Amino acid sequence: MTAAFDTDQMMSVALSRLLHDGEIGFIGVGSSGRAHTLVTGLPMMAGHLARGRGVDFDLQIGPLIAPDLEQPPGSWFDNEIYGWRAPALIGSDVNMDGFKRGAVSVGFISGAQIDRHGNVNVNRVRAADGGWKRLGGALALPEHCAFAGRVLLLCDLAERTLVEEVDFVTGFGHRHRGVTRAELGLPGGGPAALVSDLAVFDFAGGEMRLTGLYPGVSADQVEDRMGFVPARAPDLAELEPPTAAELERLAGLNLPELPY
Amino acid sequence: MRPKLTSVEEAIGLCSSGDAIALGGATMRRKPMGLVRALAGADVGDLELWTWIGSADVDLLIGAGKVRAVNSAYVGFGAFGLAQTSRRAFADGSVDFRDWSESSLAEALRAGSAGLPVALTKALLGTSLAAGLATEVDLPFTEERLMAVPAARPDVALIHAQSADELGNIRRRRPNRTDDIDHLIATSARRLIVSVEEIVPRAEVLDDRDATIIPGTYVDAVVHLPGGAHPTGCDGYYDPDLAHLAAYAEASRSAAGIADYIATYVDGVDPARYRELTAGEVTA
Repeated sequence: MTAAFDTDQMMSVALSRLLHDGEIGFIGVGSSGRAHTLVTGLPMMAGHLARGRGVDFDLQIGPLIAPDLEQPPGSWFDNEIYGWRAPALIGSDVNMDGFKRGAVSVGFISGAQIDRHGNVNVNRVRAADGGWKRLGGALALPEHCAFAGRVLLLCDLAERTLVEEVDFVTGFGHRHRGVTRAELGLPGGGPAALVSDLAVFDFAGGEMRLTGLYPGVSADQVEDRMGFVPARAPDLAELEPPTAAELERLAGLNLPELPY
Repeated sequence: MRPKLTSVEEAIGLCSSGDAIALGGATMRRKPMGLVRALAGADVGDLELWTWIGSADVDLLIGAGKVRAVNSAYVGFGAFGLAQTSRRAFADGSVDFRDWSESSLAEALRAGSAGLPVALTKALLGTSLAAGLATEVDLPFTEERLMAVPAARPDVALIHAQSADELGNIRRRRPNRTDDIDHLIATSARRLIVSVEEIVPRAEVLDDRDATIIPGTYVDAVVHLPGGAHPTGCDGYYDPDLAHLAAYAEASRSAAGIADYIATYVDGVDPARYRELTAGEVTA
């Protein structure tokens, strides 16, 4: 019998299966609301799951290196996050240098807009009247996209989020208006996967491709929630639900309450 | 080393209309809010702001009508959401937002600190951020594609620190929960104003020089401003005042709201009066 599970648990399990031995994943803390859960909470859950399987996967939260996931902070406010028990809190510019020289294996990001080629926008979106609406700002999202060994995107599927082309390129994906990563000479690998609330995608050939559906979800349901129709992998299949052991391990992770 | 301890009015007198002003701290930690409030109430304007990760500092100065341009990698309130005064100023075009990434902005400040005219970055390659900010350059020794950004050399930097002696030797005490680039903000600027929670005896500094993060020789003015980061936090002294930040975020949702906030907490409100007004709000 399969245990009951929620969307965040399924997403974190799917994400954890993409984490490998010897890697360092970078989590930022600048977001709010659902985005915060997506790019902070879910990667911590996924890292905890991967470590439970014996995968030597370390996380860093901004400049805080390898915090003790067994003893989470009391809240998600960053003064508490940076008080989290950890072996090191490095300087922020030293931290950025690490990104630039390739010390970050995996970046976890989301976006107000994500397009077919994995370009991400968190800066500004076009309003209905043609003007711009400002969001918070890039933070280190361009660094994730330029330098991380690979980027794992996280989002809830919505037509306004999954767009044919982003209004503004905060982070470069695989291609934008005919220009490719290789031509730009970006050192990092760029988007490798999108883990959403209904399904998982890869970027084989540099373009978003539906590869795995969560239990009970159809490909048509997925496409109905997107602003473009993605390619479908020939071996598109339903993903395994979280195991009882995975759910038990997640239950043992006492993260502070997530905002959404 | 000459004494640097002065009043907030004297210190802010180092800022002139049209200046580029750099602001330390990040989001909810050690924003130089006491100095920012004094600047917001001073007879200066047309300012170009530089900050790595902005929040109430940038938003309040925009609300006070002091800002012509903002250079930053972010302006917002993290868990409390977006900076609404900034968003209105962006939408109506009254403030020019030059949006950077974290590493490229740190590099621009590092170049300014090192006396170099430009910094090099790959972070902006292929992004929309590069427009108006970065130019691709041909370089010797390499075939790699790189972009140059102009060095940041602000006129005045404002930072808030934990303690200093009267000569302006700036100290950090544990716990260190910082995620900022205050040392680059400080060294890139032509003049440096530091507000501190405490003034400590010179002997304490000499007995424990390892806690000095910025020497007094780099500092133009030190202001004793207990609670000077409020409503953001100051490690080892107080946490961010979440209730006040939430109230600020709410006030900033309308032009009238931010005007009321400024009338209450900025106009004619000196640091002592501000502490009275917010007493009981600070969650120490």
